[in-house]
Amino acid sequence: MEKDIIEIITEKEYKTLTQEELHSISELCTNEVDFIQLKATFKSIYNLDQDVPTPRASTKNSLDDLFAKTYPKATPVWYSSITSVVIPKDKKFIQQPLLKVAAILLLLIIAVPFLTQNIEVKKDQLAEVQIKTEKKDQDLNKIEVPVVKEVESGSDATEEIQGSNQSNGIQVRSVGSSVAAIDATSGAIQPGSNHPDGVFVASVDETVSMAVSFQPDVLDLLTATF
Amino acid sequence: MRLIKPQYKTITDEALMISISKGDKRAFDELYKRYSQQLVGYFFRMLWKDREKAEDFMHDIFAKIIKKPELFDPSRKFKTWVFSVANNMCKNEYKKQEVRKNTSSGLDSSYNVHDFNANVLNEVHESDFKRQFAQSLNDLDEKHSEVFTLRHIEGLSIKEIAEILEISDGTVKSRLFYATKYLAQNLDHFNPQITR
Repeated sequence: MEKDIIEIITEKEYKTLTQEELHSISELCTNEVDFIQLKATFKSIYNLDQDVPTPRASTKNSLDDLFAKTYPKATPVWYSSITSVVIPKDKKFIQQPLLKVAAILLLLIIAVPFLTQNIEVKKDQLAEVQIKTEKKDQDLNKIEVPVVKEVESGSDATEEIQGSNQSNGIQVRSVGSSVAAIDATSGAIQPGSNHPDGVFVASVDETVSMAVSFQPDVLDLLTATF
Repeated sequence: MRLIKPQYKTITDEALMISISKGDKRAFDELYKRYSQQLVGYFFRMLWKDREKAEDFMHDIFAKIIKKPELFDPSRKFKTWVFSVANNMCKNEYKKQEVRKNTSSGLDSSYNVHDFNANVLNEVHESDFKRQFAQSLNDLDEKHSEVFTLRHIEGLSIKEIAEILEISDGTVKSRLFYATKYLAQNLDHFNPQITR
């Protein structure tokens, strides 16, 4: 924006003035001395402590009264803004946010007791499961006792087979020692066992020895002629 | 949703006016805080340094804002609008005074006899300068003094003055030039002594 004459005079030095600026101030001053004098005059105007009265408090009070009369039912801004958001006039009753919030709260109130109840039920179920497993373990112990006995009774048969095989010159894996070990552990609760429940249930393959005639593959191997 | 209280200090004048039209008291307080002093000063200078008048006029302008905020066009700048209203109020007051002057037989009190004492050149006191400046500004005709006041005392731009007075930028500049020339001539004897 083009500067007015007073700005030129107060802000610039005479030597720095352009031809255009010199022309614009030519009617006020024609030389440097006049220019400096004018500068001092206008600086004095700006530095003047203007005797401007301050508005009276009574004027403000009067305006406040007028405001209160003009806007008597004006609600506070924060209140009106909340109301306009929560209960907008342009929306239907069902679509109003306040109703939605109320519905969500109601659902939560209804749902919370059910949620807590479900947790308690689960606890009961867990306890029952534990009891059942213990019972199962006890059942297993009961079942395995005769198996062990069978193994014990079968040890004689193995020894017999072992003896006959040796006589035939065929080497057969001796299970006598392992059977003896199984005797001590199978089906019984072992204090030093790796099993988390302290129970070791021997698998049938490892603990039970049976006659070769019950295992066709082995029988074929034994009876094969080389 | 705006639940937090708005920071009125950072809100524009135009936005405050919109809030006032909705009955926001704090918006009105903020606008009053921004312009009351400035308007009292303007009326005080334009209305022959009459404090009572200045106070009354400032009250009237804010009463207008309260009662008829719809008069303000939000597309305009509030500052230029409020000063144009203030300026029109001053013009109306000048007309009233003119009528009174014509009907009265007394001398016009606003026009004092100039007393340029050559000796003051060497005794520049601020009070004298102030008085002389105020007198010179007062002696200027209305259209020149209002432009000078708006530009150099109220600090408005030439464009804003043009908008307030509904005249062109060029007219504002030429009036400013005339006012400056007049004041420079009248205050010439206050210039510091320079060896010529």
